[in-house]
Amino acid sequence: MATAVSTRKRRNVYTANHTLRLPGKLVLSEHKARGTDVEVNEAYDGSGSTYDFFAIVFRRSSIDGRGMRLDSTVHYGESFENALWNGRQMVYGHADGRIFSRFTASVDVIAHELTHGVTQFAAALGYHGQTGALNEHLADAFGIMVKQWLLGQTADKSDWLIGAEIFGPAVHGVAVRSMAAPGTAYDDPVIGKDPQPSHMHDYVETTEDNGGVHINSGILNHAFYRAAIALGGRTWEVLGRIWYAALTDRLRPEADFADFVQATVDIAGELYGNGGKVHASSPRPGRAWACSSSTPAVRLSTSPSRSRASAPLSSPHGPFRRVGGRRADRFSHFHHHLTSLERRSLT
Amino acid sequence: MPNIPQKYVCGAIPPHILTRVAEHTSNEASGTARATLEHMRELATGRAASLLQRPTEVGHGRLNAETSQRLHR
Repeated sequence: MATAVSTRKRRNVYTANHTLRLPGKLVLSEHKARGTDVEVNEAYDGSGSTYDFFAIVFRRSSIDGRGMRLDSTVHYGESFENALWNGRQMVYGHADGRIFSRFTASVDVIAHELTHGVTQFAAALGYHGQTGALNEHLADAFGIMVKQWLLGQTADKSDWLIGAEIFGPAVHGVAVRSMAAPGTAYDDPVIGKDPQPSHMHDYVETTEDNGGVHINSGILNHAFYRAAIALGGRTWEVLGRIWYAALTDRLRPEADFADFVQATVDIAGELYGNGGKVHASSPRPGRAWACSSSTPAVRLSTSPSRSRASAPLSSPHGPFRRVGGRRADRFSHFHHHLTSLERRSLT
Repeated sequence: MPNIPQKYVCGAIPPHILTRVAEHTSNEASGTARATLEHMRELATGRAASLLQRPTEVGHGRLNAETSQRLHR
């Protein structure tokens, strides 16, 4: 029997009035009238859309699964140029309007940050190396699904961009990340070139950014995009269900890419085939995943992504080093699953 | 369902972008980016430390003097 989930949102938006005090002064809530501050309203609406997505699609009651009130503070600091989930609430700094526009402008960014809260409560997933990149990927995956769900988009209609409204006029770039084409989101004299890889052969070893968590998430992001396009339709209905089950039911705090791949393969089999329950309206994913998991892995050189393992590294972003080898071998079966999905989508 | 405090801080703007801005822009933009990076580090380490001590003060922006000066300029 399905468990009843409250869809009654509780949202508070505060202003820090350019101080560092949290949460600050309450300016908007479910019982307080909307004003003219764009950032206040966007923070309120973005948290509401994210709440609705998890409640309606996955029957999850807020970030913690227990109806947690969603608090957001805008105008944090005089020149704090970022937005974050701090473990308790959303915090938005103030953009300069030139390099960055507004940190509340992209609903997928708000959903990304709030998904870190879901991950915190559901899986306590770590934040270093592959585990951290998986954590970042999950935030992007649910972030883009919130945007697609809000816009009523199927996978083929989505721009697959995270933070398309974040950069200001001084920057040559379309977004902070591209899930369709990692590494191409921006190329600019001020902010540099997007360093995200799309393939395990280009996994970046670095001591920065907790082991490149915002960089190597591109590998899983691209896999997610390819799977969504191959399956077609609404991303959140099939792929989202698998990803959500993996996040909330299967991941250990130290899970790596291979653990996540195995979890999604197992869940896909259980939900859509491979001896499990097969949904009548969406049989293809079950057959595709079940089929691909029962055949030998293909070599990376035959996978769709172009290998650049031997290419010289010219990243301007720090001591990054691209590696292949054992990690790539461990990951090769995931690309086989995706290749199989793509083949089936064409037949 | 576990109720485990988050032990990290993810910013919407990744550190490699802020680092690049800090190193390749004018004084004002560079200073803001440096201050943001420093504050992000302090939020992360401050909260990590507070998890062992006083969880109720998690994320309340403990700053060193230099960062505080930049953010409150």
